[in-house]
Amino acid sequence: MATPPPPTDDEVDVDEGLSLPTDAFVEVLLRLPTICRLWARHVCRHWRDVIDARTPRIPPPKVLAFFSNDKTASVYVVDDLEHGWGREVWRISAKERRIRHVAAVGTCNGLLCLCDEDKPGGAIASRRSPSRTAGCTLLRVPCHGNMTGGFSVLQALTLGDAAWRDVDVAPHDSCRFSTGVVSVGGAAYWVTEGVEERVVSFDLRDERVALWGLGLAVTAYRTPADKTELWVLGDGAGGGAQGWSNRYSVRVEGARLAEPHFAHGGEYVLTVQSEGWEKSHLHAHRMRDAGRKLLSSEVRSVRIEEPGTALASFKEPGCLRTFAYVETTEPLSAYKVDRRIKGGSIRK
Amino acid sequence: MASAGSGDEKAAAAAMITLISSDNEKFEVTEATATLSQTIRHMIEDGCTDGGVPLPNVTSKILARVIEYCKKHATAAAGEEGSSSSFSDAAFLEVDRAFLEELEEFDDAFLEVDRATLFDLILAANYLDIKGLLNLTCQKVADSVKGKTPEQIREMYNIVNDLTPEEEAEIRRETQWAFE
Repeated sequence: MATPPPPTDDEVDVDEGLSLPTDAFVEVLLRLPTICRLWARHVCRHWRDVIDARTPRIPPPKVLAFFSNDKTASVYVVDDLEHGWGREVWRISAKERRIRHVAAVGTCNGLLCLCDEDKPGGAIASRRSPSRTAGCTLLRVPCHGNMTGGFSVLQALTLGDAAWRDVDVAPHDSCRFSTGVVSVGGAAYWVTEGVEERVVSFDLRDERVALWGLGLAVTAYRTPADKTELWVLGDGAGGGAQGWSNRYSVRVEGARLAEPHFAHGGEYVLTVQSEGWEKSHLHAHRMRDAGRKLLSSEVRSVRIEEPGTALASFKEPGCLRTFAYVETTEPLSAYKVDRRIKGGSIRK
Repeated sequence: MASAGSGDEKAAAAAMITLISSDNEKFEVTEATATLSQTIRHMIEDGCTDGGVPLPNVTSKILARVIEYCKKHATAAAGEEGSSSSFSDAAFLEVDRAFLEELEEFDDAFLEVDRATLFDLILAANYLDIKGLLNLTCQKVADSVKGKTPEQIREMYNIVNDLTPEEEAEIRRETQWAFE
């Protein structure tokens, strides 16, 4: 774009739009928070092209660990997997929380979505309110606890809507509850109940999207939990149902894979080690041959034995779930409750 | 922030530079003020400022504002250097704090301009390579965009949306998975 001629005094009141030369426009864009810059791609072609060509891509996701029990719920973000550096970004204790059994449902667009597990269709609370959350859809199974048997309806909530809406599901596609429902890439996946187990998916917006370096484990614990088959989305080589293919076979000694997001950045595997019922420790393990490319039909065996890098320790019984999280410039810590850490600690 | 150099600061402060705007108006400024601009600093280093520095991209109206900014911030830079030797002195720290507050107030008042002037200041700061001024003015525009929907941004800046529905859908998809 050419530099516009300097305006004379007569032109000062004429609104010329954001007609800055590209170099200066880039300077403006670089001062926007990442999430605003992403939304600014919707403005017009010029904005989209300049943002794509001249501003940094979205930072790689970090590991987010959500720990909860009946006394406390807290969120940790791991900044550096190699050294195990991280920090607590949010915490709430039973006294101050309106919802009793809080569970993390997922992370999306910089949001951490929490759900009240007390009753079916419980309230969803989101920590952080970005400028726009449209298009972020959550899914839940309309029952809880030790409920067995099937369901014929799922409930979906698009953030911004007031209530959950029902989504019909064929009875033979109902869910094995021990595995839970996992959402990734805009679809929810679960293992079906019944003689023939299948992993089925529910597409949240009729689109299938590629996935970046994230893996997904749906593990049903039987005795002994020896090997976990790892299916990867969008790898292309296997050409399985909906682009999923079995690419890894993981064996973990003395620990279990973290759930639901256990693979991170294409290099690290996250595990949870339990000390009885009381304590659990989150570890990161660097895969030895992470850089080596998989052959087209290869199913790689991964064996995890060493303790790995300690990320966080939780000294109370509770539920630990791990997610991928992209930090935006409005920090979660703005919601941090100023209180001594009781349930968990971050290793520095 | 640019500092006034390590050598003979007093001599540098006394030297005067003439800046010439696009409409041929002449401005006499100290070298300390002028060298907040990296562009002018390089010209001085190359010894090509005799007979004045022509600035064909900057009007006298905008140049006057830019010089106003540089004068204030050159004083601030000199002040910082002066007080650093007696950093432990509480009185000096107190003066510093007051001065920084004053500087912040100056910046806020400086930004109270119409949009056209703001954009011209960005162009001038970009051309003259004045880091502090570029940061200040660009942040002001960024703040006007922050928290707005794409539609609000288009309205505010009279931008026509030339994205096809397919392109919009593509952007939506990319934005959504990016933050999962």
